[in-house]
Amino acid sequence: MNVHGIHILLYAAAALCALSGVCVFFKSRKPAYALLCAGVLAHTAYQAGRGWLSGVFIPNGMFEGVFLLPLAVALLALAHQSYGERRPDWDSVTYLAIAFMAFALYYPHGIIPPTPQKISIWAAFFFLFEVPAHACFFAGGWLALRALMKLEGGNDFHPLLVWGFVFYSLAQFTGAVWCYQGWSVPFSWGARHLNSAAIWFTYAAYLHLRFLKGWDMRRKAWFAVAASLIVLCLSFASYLHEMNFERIGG
Amino acid sequence: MIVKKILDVVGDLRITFWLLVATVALCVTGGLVASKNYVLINSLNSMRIQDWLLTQGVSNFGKSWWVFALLFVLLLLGVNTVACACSRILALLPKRKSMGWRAFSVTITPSLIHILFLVALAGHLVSSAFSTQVKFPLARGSEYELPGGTRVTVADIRTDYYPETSYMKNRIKEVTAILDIQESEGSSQASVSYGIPLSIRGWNLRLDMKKKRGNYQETAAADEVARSEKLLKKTEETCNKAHMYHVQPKVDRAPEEFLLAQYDPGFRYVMGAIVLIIIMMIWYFPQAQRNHA
Repeated sequence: MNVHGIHILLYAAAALCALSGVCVFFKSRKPAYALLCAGVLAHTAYQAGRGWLSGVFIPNGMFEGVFLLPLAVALLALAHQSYGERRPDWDSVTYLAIAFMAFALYYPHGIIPPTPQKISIWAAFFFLFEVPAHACFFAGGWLALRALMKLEGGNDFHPLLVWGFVFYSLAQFTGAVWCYQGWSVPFSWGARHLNSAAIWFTYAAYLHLRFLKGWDMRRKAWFAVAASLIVLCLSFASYLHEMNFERIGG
Repeated sequence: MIVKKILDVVGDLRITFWLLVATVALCVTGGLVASKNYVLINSLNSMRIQDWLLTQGVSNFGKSWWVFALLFVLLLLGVNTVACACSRILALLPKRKSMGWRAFSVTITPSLIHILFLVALAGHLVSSAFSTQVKFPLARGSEYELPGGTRVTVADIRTDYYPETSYMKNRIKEVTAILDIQESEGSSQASVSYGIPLSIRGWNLRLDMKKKRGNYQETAAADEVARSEKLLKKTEETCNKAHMYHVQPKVDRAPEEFLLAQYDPGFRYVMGAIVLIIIMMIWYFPQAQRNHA
């Protein structure tokens, strides 16, 4: 039983993503796109393989946030380049994917052995919505920061934050069902749930800004940057905390 | 006119914004406090909120003040949302014919979302204030009576382990309790496991764990037990139940599992409102974006 070889795919995906970042830096858009596509394929295969890290299929490994986040960010960049207006500021989202990938490489690769309560289809749905929501929030914050630095772009960040909020609401619903199924309460008084509530209310506040006088695009961009920093602190604090947990498979 | 003026003042969006910011600040504070005081804050999940506030909350005010503040801010947010939604709906209703059905439905959707948000908030309040939880030690042959007269007997308990060939060997995959249920209409048999709870007359039955059954064999050496005891002390204030569940040896740890019966009158309102909010948002945002463009 040797399942640890699957981690090679993560290193391959990281290398392809990094090369794509180099091409973005030198403004070679086509090679950057092709390398990112290859990186996404390698990473998708890796995520699927994580389901067997324990030597038996456990879906939880496939949806762990630290590893899914760079893939979600890269997919966002690819989706925009494939179907959007291909604005250059979106290419820089690749840098964000590289940063999250670097953290994933540093992070313990194994899975936390799940208790029976944590093996639920609702858990999979929760992470499938929460991680893309985080990706939208981070990409939105990044584009807002670039707009503030007058590198490129305008209010491209706004739709990302809106759809991030929708995904996050879906995550709260699926998370509540999972929590009720496993712990009999839709909201558990604890750090994880309170932090989720903080993130949801942050973006609820953002959505109200367009009805307030004095909140022009520039101030909204500042808010988007601050909000993404809140998400960064809260989600990565949780990831760092879980680094101390027992893991198997890497 | 006075009512309209009051609604405009109380439902002011600037107040909404700052209440939302205050809620964020209190949730972040709560998260920090909860991570350092797991046992205290987690006890809120098994007690009615008013009981908790009057006992644990008051006696540990230094660690619980943010719960009082959060409830107060959410109350203000509720009042503000009612006023804002009412004010907007009252202003929009007379225009419904001139606007046309489509434009009217797009314009009024945010107000409907706000009303549903209130329903979800009220549902949470009902859950927190009126939920009932009863906990029974899980043992083969035990008999329990649920409030309402339903009698439950544990006919069998089955524990499934992961395959020996995997890295998860000796770890529990699932525990299933086979229950004989006697109601006034007759008797029946049903099963409840960690993954699949059971619903009887509005009561949600599920398994719960306290002291954890370990992955180690009963032949675990004495030093393993000592190491585990040390780990238990270390993790006393942690939320990582999984860790405790897997490392604690089986020896001298009975009973370890519980049958937990919970009645939650607010759950259906919370979930129903969230589903409708999501459906409305998915419909509304593309429409609003198109109108904006």
